[in-house]
Amino acid sequence: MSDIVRYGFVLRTSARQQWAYRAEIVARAIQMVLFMGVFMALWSTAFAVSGQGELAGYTLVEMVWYLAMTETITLSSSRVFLEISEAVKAGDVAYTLARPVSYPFFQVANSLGNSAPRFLLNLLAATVVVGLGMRQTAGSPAGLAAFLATAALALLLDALIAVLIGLLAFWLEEVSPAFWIYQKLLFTIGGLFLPLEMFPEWLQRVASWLPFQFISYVPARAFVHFELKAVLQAVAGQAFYIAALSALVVLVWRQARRRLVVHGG
Amino acid sequence: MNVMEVQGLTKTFVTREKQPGLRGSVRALLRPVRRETRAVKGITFAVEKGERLAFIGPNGAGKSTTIKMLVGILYPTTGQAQVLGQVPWRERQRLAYEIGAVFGQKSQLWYHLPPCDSFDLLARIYELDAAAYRQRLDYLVNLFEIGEYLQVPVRKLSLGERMRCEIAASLLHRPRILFLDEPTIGLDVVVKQRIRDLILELNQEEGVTIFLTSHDAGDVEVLCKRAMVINHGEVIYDGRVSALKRDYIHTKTVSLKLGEPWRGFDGPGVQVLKHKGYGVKLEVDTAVAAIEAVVGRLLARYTIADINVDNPPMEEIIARIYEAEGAEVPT
Amino acid sequence: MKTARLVWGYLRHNLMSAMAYRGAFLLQVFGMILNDAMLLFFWWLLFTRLPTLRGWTLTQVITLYGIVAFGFGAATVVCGNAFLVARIIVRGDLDYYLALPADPLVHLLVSRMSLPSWGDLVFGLLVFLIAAPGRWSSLPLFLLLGLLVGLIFVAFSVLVGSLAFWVGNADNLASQAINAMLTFSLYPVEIFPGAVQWLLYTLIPAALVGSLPAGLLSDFSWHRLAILVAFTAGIVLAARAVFRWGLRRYESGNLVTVRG
Repeated sequence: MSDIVRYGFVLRTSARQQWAYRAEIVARAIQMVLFMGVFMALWSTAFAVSGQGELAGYTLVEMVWYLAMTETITLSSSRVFLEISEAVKAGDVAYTLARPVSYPFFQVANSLGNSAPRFLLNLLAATVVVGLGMRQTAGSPAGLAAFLATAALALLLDALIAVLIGLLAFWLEEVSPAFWIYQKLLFTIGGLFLPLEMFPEWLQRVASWLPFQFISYVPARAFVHFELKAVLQAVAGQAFYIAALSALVVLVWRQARRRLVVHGG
Repeated sequence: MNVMEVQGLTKTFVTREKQPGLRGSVRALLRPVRRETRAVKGITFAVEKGERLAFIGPNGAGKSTTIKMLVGILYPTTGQAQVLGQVPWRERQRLAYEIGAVFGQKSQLWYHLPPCDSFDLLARIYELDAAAYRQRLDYLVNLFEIGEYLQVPVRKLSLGERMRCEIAASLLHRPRILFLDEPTIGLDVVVKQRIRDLILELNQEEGVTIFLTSHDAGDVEVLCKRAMVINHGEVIYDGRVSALKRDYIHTKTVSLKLGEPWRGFDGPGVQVLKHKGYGVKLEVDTAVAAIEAVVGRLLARYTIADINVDNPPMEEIIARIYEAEGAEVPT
Repeated sequence: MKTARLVWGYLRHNLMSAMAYRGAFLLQVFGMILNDAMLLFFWWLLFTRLPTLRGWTLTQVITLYGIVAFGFGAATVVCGNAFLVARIIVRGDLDYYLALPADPLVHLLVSRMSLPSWGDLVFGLLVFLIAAPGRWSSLPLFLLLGLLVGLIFVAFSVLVGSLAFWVGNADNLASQAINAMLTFSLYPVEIFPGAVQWLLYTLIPAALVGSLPAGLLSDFSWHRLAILVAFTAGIVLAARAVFRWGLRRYESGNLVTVRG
């Protein structure tokens, strides 16, 4: 129990630190407003041109709200890999071994602390922009609840991946390319711009097995098309990947620690 | 022949004060509070060709403001100046071909490339004729003895080697005036002297006028014949460095690390500033006692692990000038 | 012209500096190419559902990306400091350029080269050559348009960056404006409502670096090319003038300062 309290405190401290960077946060919120504005125009045009009410089972309003949700998650995603890789380079990681908290999971908590306030701000901004732009809402209260739950798990999943990427710094000169690749995969087969229903059959099948769609697609879909069975399946999938990645983190960290001891930081 | 003529140069900055925060911004917009800062208050002087002038003063005294006006980056509130026959702020680009600058902190050389590449780029910037440039480069490389570093990336050079390359870079285009700002900062004693010798040699060979700003009294003593001290935007001393030395720089501090406990030391002109354990700091009045004699007696009397002889810092010299002139010592 | 020689000198110099760390350089370039390619994924999927979008086919959208990426890449490869004009002014780094004989604006623009932008450059060219019909014969036009697009990007950046001569927080503002310009330029202008389109042809000339030149590549007209050339000349002259005007203010030393 005390572990959770400890990690919880880390979360709160990081969140408070974010307030200091509010100028940067505002700048990013503006970028999001821009992005949403562009895509609202784009989707409106696409639907008008197609002459249909629905594309791949989504109405225009649903499509835009879907995007708002995936954007919210993406903009709140973790950059903790930078911190970790810098700490590894600087040799600071050795000091953390003395602390009672496990370094990578400490970083996961740290990352969530960073993400939480950003997530709320981005969600607010997205809701306002899309609400004003489309004058209609989509989803439902149940959908919103499902979204918040799955989004939290999504951010946890994202944080674990970011930590893994950060830990690669023990072996790689530059971890940024790894993050790039992850991000691009998230943007494409993770379903950032388009729900998986828009993919051709074969791509849908491939994407549904990979963890990326559990980060972007699944929460957004839960909001727009709430279906209890689908949501539960999604949560199961997220839980599976969280467990799997946590185990991977433990393994990788063990290897990293060995390397640390041998090479001396 | 004068390379610089300055009359009544004044610079007053008018800035709008803005308090931090949102309320401050709004207030600044509606009712701006104007603040006048008189950075330079009527400076007048002339510099002859080939002179070696030290321009010294504490931070915020108006040094960089004056230099910016001389280079043409800033234009004055009132007053006139002529540098190499041109008004700096009106003909800045033309003047730029004939002056050079070395700033101790800011480098002209590119960090990841060898100096020869930076030299080539500078040759292009100053539009030097290819043959003349080659000749000039060979001459400078020889003089500064940087031949073996030409192809080594700058980041691999020691500070001393880098400074030699920096100064060589600033001389490629044969400037008639060289502005040096803290050229020996961070260098050890031997390298400092070497750099100073090189600058002196160039001054003698080519008649480059040297305009030095430095917090290092040693730089001033060795390099310059004339010193101008500026404080609060005014010139409070303009005369020979030898006079400055005689009148104001007549102490040296001796720092010792002993191999045995301190038993005291007596002598005219010697004052113990502090002693703690095996460390001692003395002040020697060189007008009264020769530093060599004092050091000799100390060496004879004690086992000494380490000894350092330093000049008084520039701040102190200026403070003493103020004391002598009877003006208030600035804090 | 001596300015041309200066620019060329810096190009060579910057490239040499980049080659000192060849691995990192190539990685950045490759990463940027990948990044740009991902954006086309969306369009590919969209066009499986729709034949055209307000007169734009997939090929034409790809051409749009090609010209914007190429022009933007060229702009920031040569003038790597274009997006940092505001920061250079605010930090007083402008003094360094003023003390040298070259034109301070050109000098400050070219003294840095953006390395990842080589990726944009390569991507733009590749994408154009692979996707556009009649591509090899339109290559000269593509390069000309790329040059114009690049000039507009630089001029616009200098204009918004020069705000730093008068306004305190210009660095942020300039970045937002440039980001908006880039974002909007990558979409066919016809998808936007009228008022926004008007904006994109004037204050934030994204249409002039994207839709207009892309349109010229698929459907050429001397009339529209003339408009583009005229606009480019106009914005370049305006940028120069505004910078010079701001420079005079800088030389008075009376920039806005913040106390406290």
